[in-house]
Amino acid sequence: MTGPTSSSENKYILRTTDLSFSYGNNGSIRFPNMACMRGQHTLVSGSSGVGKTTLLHLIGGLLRVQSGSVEVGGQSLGLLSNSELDTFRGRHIGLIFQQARFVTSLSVVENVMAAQYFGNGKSNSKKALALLGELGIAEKSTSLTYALSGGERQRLSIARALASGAPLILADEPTSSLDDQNADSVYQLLLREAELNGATLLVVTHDARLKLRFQNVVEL
Amino acid sequence: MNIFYISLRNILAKPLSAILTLIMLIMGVGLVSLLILVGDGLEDNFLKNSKGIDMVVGAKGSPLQLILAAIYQIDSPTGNISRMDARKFARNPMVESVIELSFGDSYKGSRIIGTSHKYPEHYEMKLQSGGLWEEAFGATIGSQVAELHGLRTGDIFYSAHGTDVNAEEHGDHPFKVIGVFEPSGTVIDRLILTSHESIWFVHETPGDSAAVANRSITAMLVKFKNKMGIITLPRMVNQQTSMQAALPAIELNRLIGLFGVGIATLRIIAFAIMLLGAVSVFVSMINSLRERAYEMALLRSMGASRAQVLSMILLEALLLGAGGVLGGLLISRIGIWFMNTYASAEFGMVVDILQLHLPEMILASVTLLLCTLAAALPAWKTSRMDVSKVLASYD
Repeated sequence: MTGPTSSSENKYILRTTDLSFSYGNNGSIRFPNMACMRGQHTLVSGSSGVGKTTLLHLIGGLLRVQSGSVEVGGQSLGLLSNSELDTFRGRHIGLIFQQARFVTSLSVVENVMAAQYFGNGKSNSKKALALLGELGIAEKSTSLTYALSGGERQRLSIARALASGAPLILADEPTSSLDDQNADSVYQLLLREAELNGATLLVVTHDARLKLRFQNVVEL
Repeated sequence: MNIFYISLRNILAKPLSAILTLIMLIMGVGLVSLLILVGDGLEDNFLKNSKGIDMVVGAKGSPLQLILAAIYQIDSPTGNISRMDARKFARNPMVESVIELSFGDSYKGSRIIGTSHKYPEHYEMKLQSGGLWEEAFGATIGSQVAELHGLRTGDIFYSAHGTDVNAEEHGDHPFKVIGVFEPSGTVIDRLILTSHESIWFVHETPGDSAAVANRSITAMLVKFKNKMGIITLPRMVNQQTSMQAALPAIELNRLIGLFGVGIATLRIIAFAIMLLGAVSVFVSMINSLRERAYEMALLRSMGASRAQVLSMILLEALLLGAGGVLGGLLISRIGIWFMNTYASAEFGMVVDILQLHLPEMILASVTLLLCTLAAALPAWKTSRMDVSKVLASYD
């Protein structure tokens, strides 16, 4: 938990209200209201096809809010223009996708620096290297990303999500393709890194193994 | 880290496709630029050499041949004319000045011209060493001649009849180099200048008074007092004398008309190659559209704006275009430098390669514009993509 904050709005890193989304004519998906305080890591669980990724993209500002509202750190995403939303996303939200994929023309450390650059407007190679060090892949910093193993790719995608110092980290099925042991270590890593960087974690998954580890669980 | 760097890395990540595109751009730009340089050089050369010469009088024959022989010294003379006839014409009040030229002999392919000091003065020649010839068989030589044959002031050489390299030598009349001109970019760089007497003495048997009375010259360069001369003087020469008058302006236009078709064809081919380069930019951008869509979506998820994605792709095309322009301009200059250095005698002109000519600046802008246009559609499409859909489609 973070300490007391001056603004009551700022207490919540994430709040969704009456959120629903529709892809054209297929009816709409309704999402339960959510409220996550800063530091209150949250798991959103649900089986395939209930709109987990859609919710993640709505919170991450990759999809525009159609009805209801999403507030990240007190900022309602629906009120931002497209370019404001890009800037906001870069600075406040780190995304970890199911598949760890990268910009293939850039090296490992450059992928982290790109996230810094687009998030904060400038990159810092020292910080990027330190982050890679924390995640145990500093020695791979100058390799191209295709030379990484599966585990290393996962670590790099965590580093990339944290690179801009975003207070909210969204992870889409980070463990579903891993065996028990690896799933656990990725979870530990995510949690540790989020805590280290003062970020709140929101994990979206159907992986039942993770459910027990979160106190704040939202069922879709 | 910035978008310029990412664009550069994206190009370098596909070296083969980048090289292919660059080669086409470089070839296209290089060829067009070469044509511009050679064209400008030719025009420059033609204008420089014919400046202040309104008319050429010589023996009857092809007027173009007369101009090429008497002004540019690149064709055989049409024949000789009587010096007396020429002088009679030169007294016409509409004629301001004349320069008499006697030629037909050479030294190892370099033409020997019998003339007066008015000829080098006309081209404002400066001396590199020595002085102007004063007596028969004294010669002042052009800079290229000096370089080509290793001749220096004080050296002796023998002339040969005709203008071939293998012409028959006149063994009994040694010429002495009195001076060497500075390079001027005019026809004199390629010539050996001497007095009329040197030419006459070589061909006359001593004591032949008839020959002395009928001395001839090869051509006469004429400058009119005013432009009115152009109407009456050529007709007068052509109708009332056994000589021929040719106007450089008219003959040169005819010449340019003759090889202009060739140059126009080359120019079209060069532009087509350049266009192919632009098409190659388009194709490689379209090809990588799908695979790069995901990476660009990733960058968007990190906070990159549409404008940044658009700029990154356009920058890539611009970088390729700039590489093509720089490479092309460099190639054309290397080509000209080679011609200047190793084939200046055949090439016959010196082109300033350090200067960027106006048509080349237009060429550079057009190339960059074409490349940007070629990338515009893929760039626009990628920047407007549905980031959520692209990201989800890979999960």
